[in-house]
Amino acid sequence: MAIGVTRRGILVAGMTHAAFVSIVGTFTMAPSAKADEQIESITWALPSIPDTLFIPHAWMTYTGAIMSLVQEGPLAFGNDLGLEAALADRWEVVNPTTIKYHLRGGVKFGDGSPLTADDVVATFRYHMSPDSGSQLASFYNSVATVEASAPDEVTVNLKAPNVQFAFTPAHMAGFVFKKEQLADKRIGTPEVLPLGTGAYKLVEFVPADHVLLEARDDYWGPKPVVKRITLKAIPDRTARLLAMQQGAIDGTFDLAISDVDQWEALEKVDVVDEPSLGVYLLTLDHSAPPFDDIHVRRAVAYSVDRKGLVEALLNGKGEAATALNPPEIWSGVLPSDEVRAFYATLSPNYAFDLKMAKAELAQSRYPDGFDVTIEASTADPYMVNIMQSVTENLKQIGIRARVQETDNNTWFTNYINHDKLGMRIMAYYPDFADPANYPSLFFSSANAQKGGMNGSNFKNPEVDAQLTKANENPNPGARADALKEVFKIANNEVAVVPILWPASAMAINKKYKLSGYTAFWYNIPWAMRGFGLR
Amino acid sequence: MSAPAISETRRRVPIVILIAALIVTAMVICAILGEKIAPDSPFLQRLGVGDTPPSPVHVAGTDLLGRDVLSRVIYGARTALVGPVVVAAGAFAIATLLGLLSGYLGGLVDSAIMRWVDFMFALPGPLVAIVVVGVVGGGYWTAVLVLAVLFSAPDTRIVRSAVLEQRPLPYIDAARTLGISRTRILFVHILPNIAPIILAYVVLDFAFALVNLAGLSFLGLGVEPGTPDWGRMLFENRSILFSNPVALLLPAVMIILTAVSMNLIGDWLYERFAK
Amino acid sequence: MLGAAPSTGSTAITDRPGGGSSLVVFVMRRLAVTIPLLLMISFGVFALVHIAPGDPASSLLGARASDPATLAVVRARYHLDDPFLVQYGKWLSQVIRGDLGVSIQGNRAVTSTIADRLGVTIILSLMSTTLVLGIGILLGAVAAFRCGTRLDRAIVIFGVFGISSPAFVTGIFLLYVFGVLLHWFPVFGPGEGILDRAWHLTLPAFALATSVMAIVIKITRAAMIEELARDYVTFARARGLSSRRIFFAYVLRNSLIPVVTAAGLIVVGIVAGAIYVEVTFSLPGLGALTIDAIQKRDIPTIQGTTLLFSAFVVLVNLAVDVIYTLVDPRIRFGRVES
Repeated sequence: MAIGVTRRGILVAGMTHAAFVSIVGTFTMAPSAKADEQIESITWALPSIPDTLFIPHAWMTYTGAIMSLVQEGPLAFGNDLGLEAALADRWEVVNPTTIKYHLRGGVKFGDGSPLTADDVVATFRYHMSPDSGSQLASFYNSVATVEASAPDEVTVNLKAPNVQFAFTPAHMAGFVFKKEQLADKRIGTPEVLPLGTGAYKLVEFVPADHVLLEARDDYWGPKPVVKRITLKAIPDRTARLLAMQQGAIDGTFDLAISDVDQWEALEKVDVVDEPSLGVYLLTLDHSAPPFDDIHVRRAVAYSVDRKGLVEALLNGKGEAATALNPPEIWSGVLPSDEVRAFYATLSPNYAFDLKMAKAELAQSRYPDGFDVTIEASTADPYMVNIMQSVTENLKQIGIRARVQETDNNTWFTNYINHDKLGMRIMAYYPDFADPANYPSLFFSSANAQKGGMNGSNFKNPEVDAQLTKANENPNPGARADALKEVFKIANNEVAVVPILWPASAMAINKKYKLSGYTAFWYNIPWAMRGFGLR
Repeated sequence: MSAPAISETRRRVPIVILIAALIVTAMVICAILGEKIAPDSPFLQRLGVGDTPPSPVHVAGTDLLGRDVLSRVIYGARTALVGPVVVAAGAFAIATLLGLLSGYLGGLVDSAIMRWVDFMFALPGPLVAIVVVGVVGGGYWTAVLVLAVLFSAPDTRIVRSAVLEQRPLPYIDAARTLGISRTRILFVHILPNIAPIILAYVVLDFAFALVNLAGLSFLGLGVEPGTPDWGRMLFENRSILFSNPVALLLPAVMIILTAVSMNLIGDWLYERFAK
Repeated sequence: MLGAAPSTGSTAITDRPGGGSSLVVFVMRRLAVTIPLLLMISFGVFALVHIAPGDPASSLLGARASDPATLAVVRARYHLDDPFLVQYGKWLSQVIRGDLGVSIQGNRAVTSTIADRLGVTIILSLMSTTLVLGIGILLGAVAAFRCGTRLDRAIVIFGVFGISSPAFVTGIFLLYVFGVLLHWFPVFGPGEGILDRAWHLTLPAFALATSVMAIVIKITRAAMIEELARDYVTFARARGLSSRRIFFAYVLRNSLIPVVTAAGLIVVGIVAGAIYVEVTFSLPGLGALTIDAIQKRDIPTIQGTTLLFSAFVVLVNLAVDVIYTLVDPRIRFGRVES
């Protein structure tokens, strides 16, 4: 496709990511199906199916795994996680604060109606509107205006240059809705299934249970290999394993790494694992007692046996997190060995040490401890176990901590609503591979409010200033320096307590292959990326 | 209902009952001594060890966080026994009071109490426990309270009919003519005479409460994560079924053994004293 | 529910009519007891919204982001600004018209969610009821005939084991042995089509049946021992009637009456057991829906399933009492002693 140059143009002009410049592949890299490679139907399991398919109200990886097959953004991620064209066949950085997206012709929504620039504008504006309650609003913080500058052209004006915004049109925040549907309060329910321009359309949705997708004949891109995809919720890990053993499902994402040996023992099953670029962390509400006390936060940080958890829960497939960002996510600005060297200089390093934890707590305003309850999602493979370990350690230093098990939706909604935050556990997987992604979400004061990811309510003017630098300055060296400052302060203040950087694993029936599996399975139309018969 | 299987051994204590009593005694010792007799701390994590099958060091293996399964099972006897004891005792405290009143006073009191009993009887008890604990929250102790209330209904009926059997007996008449107060007749004269049947049902209630509380823990509605509890262990250790099945089987066996023992003892007591 | 208790008896006994009253009067009297019972249950179910911690409107809306406008809609929808009893009245009239509210998960009518899940639970319950009655009565009869032998003792102990093993423990055990190790049965999902579904539900039905069967074994055995000792059996034997004839014509029929009275216990056992079994086998039935709703604090769905389960139990009890009076003339004429 001829747009290769354009894409390269924006990458060089806007953000020089070593990793991304190397992309040459386009959408055609997903081998289009040969006639004999048509697959009638597959059944895919997820640990949870959301209550609603409306991404702004259910922004979770499991929603993404479904909706990335139905909806598309103006841009998309390639198999190497770089940006490539999707609904926009080309885009242009007019100046550092103005980007124009030119929409591809002949693209239709699942109901046959054509895609127009108005739909894209309505989608972006929906996220930007404070009344919509979009959980992805923060990705539009830097946007000043968005206009349809022509019937097939959308112009975005930024308040200030922002490196991260370039990715927004490619991940869940950029998935385009049909304008009329956005006005309907019922969107996302089985009655009003969201329309998209993707290769599949939603046929059936039973909330929290299953979704049925059907391939579209009038899709603008390559012909989908699989005609029908059923996505089923199987929350219980053992049940999912048994379903796979029995052939009731053809594959699944998000295996618990601790179970991988059991999955590998299944005869007809391939297990694939990849670094996830994800992170598990604790947030501690800085705006309210007891976590407004730095010594309490440090006591908690010392009480997490990261290395032990990696061994017990990840069988070594993953790393103990020393900071929010996994080293690989820095690849655009800093090689990962340099990142590791930098992390090693962070002080204090909060290595597991209950003596230090006790000493910190003794210095705090709560030498006799306090009560705290932490919600953990039962759909997540590690959370409950991580929290069991952490609460046991906290009990030993005198903090009476208990774990409250909840379902995935409740856990996330309570987090994002910023209601009685206290201590929370969060599992976060990247929206895009940029080192400013996590710090902007978790450390910026703009996100320390309802709808924002800063569950620690961490506010630091210096951090905000450095984040602005990292987001505005396209120079990798300058970005790296700014982000290093951010991480130094965050570490010292215990903005969050990082726990793990897990690998991510999927299982697939040996009949099939999925060559395009990446850590971004929830942001890309996975069934269109090299899925086929083996 | 008669169960003559053990009726021929009315005088001697059958061997099965002795074994059952032995098992229950062992459980009670575990519950009382707990950590003192456990080979290891039930809470100590060995994250580096993780889930391992039985070995000389950890006779029943370890769970995902490397905790010693045997120690957790021994320590778990406490939550397994304390709740059911409270449920059975609580249910019978309520039932004895209501049953005595209802049976002895009769009239309006009797019919009011029996309406209530009928209502409770018509409810699907375990479902009520699940829903109330699930909605109200509070876990284990809410469950104990709810079960005590639910169990008190059938127990009331039993106490009442036992009282009705006693009331026409001559000694009650004699006591009345002597001018002994109603309360005194109820608690000093009638209660000791119906105590054996109460004991039999307390034991049976205990067994049923044990099974129900384990069930609630299994559904994630009982004890909180991290507590060594048989029902909870069954639920948690399902994911290590293949690496250490003992972590799952041992608590299951403990639940069944205790419940079977108590049921046998209860049935036997009933046969022996209540007929 | 108190299957462990040696004495059984449903409400039928206490509500039996006075001497000589007719069947119609009896049925009317039973209905007169049932309706207030259903009202009390519905009141309890309604009150769940208010006993749930937190504001009722938020309980009905779930954890989802709720702006004042949406909260106002919910308050109006459930009449939350009315006095408590008025709310109950309005809610009840909606329920009677088949409107159980809107579930928090996915904003869907509770009735349609229940409709999706009902099939699995019905088939599972029917299968296990068949097993409970079939195997339970058979074992009870065998034990009675071989009363005092090793076989009898084995059956009695089996019954005690059944009542002492929670359905989920039996379920996990069956799942592991017959599904995972031996591969005899499918271990996941409810199956499609009637035969396949029955095949998929075999293990769950057995797990469910084992815990309930004990009641039937115990009652059949006791009743049959009593019947076998009766004079008419001795006479029949003396007159040279075959054992088979005696058994089927007299003993079995008469012994089944106490089993019918225990129907209430059996139904409660099946309903409660179904919840555990569905969770253990990950079956998409009403029981699993209830637990799912509890975990998600989806009050409208919890209300819907609880109401359905309880009403079912009450109505089955009513039906059994009526059938019971039809079967046993002694009841009709009020001469039976409890």
